[in-house]
Amino acid sequence: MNATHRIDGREHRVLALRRGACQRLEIDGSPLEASLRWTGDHEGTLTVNGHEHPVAAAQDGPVLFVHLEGRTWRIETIQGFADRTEGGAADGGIRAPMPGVAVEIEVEVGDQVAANQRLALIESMKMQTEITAPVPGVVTAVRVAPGESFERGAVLIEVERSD
Amino acid sequence: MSAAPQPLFPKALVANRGEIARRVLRCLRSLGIPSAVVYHEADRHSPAVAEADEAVEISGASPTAAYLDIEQIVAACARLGVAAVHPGYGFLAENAAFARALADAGITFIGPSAEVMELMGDKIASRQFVAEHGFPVPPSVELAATDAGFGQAAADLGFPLVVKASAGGGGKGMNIVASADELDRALRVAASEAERYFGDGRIYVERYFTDIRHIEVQVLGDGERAVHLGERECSVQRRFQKVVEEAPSPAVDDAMRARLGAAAVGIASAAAYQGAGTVEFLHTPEGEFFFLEMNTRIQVEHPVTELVYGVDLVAEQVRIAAGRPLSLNQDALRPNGHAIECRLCAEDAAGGFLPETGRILHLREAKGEGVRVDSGLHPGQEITAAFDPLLAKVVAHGPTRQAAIDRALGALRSTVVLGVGTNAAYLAAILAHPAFARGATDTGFIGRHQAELLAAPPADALAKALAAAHLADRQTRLIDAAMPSLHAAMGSWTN
Repeated sequence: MNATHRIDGREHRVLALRRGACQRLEIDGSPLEASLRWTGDHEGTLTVNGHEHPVAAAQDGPVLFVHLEGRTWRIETIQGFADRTEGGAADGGIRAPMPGVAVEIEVEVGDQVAANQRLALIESMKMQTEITAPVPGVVTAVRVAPGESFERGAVLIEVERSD
Repeated sequence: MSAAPQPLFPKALVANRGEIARRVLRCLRSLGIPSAVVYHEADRHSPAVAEADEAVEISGASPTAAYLDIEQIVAACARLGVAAVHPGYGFLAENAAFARALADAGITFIGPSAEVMELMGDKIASRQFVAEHGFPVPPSVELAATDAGFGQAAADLGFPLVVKASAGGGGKGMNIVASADELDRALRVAASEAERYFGDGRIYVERYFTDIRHIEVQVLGDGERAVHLGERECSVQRRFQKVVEEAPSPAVDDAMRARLGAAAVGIASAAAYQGAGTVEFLHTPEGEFFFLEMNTRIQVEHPVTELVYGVDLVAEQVRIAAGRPLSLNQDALRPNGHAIECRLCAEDAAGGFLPETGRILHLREAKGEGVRVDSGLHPGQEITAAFDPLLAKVVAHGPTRQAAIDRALGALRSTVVLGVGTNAAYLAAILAHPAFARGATDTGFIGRHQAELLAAPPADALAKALAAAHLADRQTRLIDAAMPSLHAAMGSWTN
């Protein structure tokens, strides 16, 4: 069994070599012995190569949050190297590059737009960012209204390509 | 104070949310004043709503719009029979129309008069006011951008320049201009941003100082008399937003403190200032200082002053608003030790400081000697982009600056917020940096040291975290649980 995890955009491989009370893991090619004993819903003791460390952990879908030795890690589990679909406009939807609030929506469904035409203005962290059309085409859906907030990756506007 | 038979106000309402709402509610409780809070649905389960004696839901097109809805909030106050309103910071804290609407309804606004808020809220007018009273302001172009000689006047001032919105402040609506050929475009962008953000397209141009210190002085005034509670240094900034603040400033000695304090008290006195205010200065390496702006509210970073001076600034605001004379004397106000505040934010430092969103899955706030955490967090809370990314303020006080740094570092390291990415490690990297330890903290600090501050953690720490993540993962635990013990005992199932 092995898994690939992503931390701050970098991928790391964890290979479980032996199972049981204490597991032998190979992390990015280096072996270590580790076990985890839970003391509460989110708190426990991690033993690595015989040394004990208090640890806190919580999981949200594929993302694990781990607090260890004074630092919190956000560790995403990736199913495999090939399966990575996020962001981009491959499906015709223009996704939010960051969470934010819509300031202005400048197009309506049915509008003909040129590539790089400004479609909307969003605000995030006191900073405004333009959302532009990735391709020339027709607006087929507008999913946010001014003042509405959205998460990173949310589809804001859909444009159907028409060259 | 809680035993006082007659509270300062029969009931007070907090028109804010998050950590500052809790901070003000705590103060009202200590003063024996029955409390109320308004909240948007998004904050229904927040600690502030649970801790207030009464809570009223307000609504709006967005959560922020609800907290900015003067009519709705004043109506809620009238319905609850509220005698006074504390606005916190942000939202309506510096809104003169809000203060007037409350006054019309016979309700006290806990803050200065609407006139003083208008004066200080207008950056062009406040600069003029301060200069007329003989206090230093940064060199600037006095002409309007549309006047004939403007381009020449700007060039004469020398680059870099900063274009600011008159109605701006707090780092919003600022554009740096490095050279003459960028000026026209910067003026256009600044005017349009100023119009968009503040509904007021007036802008002005000042000389821009790089690598200076941002030092601000806390004042309290009762309209007759004003005192200062020393300075806070807020030079560690990113994109004009404060990241770490401290009191006192490592660059200010007693003589400089007296000069800065006298200027701040002079400005507050000239305005017959009532309440708590902050006079912000630019402080150059040559020891000059210039007036930047005056903030007519409680500041985010007020706890460092409270810890060093042993004064509850919010309680002083409430007393002054209730018409009590200032009880503090300048001679008795002496700084004790050192305090540092770190702004814990939901942001991805390694990923370009983009805001992080998520749900708080597990929370353990720091405790310990000299440690104060002002937080509005609760488990289960959704952190969205609807509000400012500030989650909590981790503050530490110690007898010396190094002791305060050590305690703040310890507090950051023991803060556990799981479910949303935070800048805790980045804050710790700032405090642990040798230049920070030396007090070499001008506004260029972050730019100069950013690569070190964002350095990847050591590989062995990473390996341990990955091991913990692997063992904690639900999938792994399911497989473990399902695995017959015989096979487990046999071991070596892959090789």
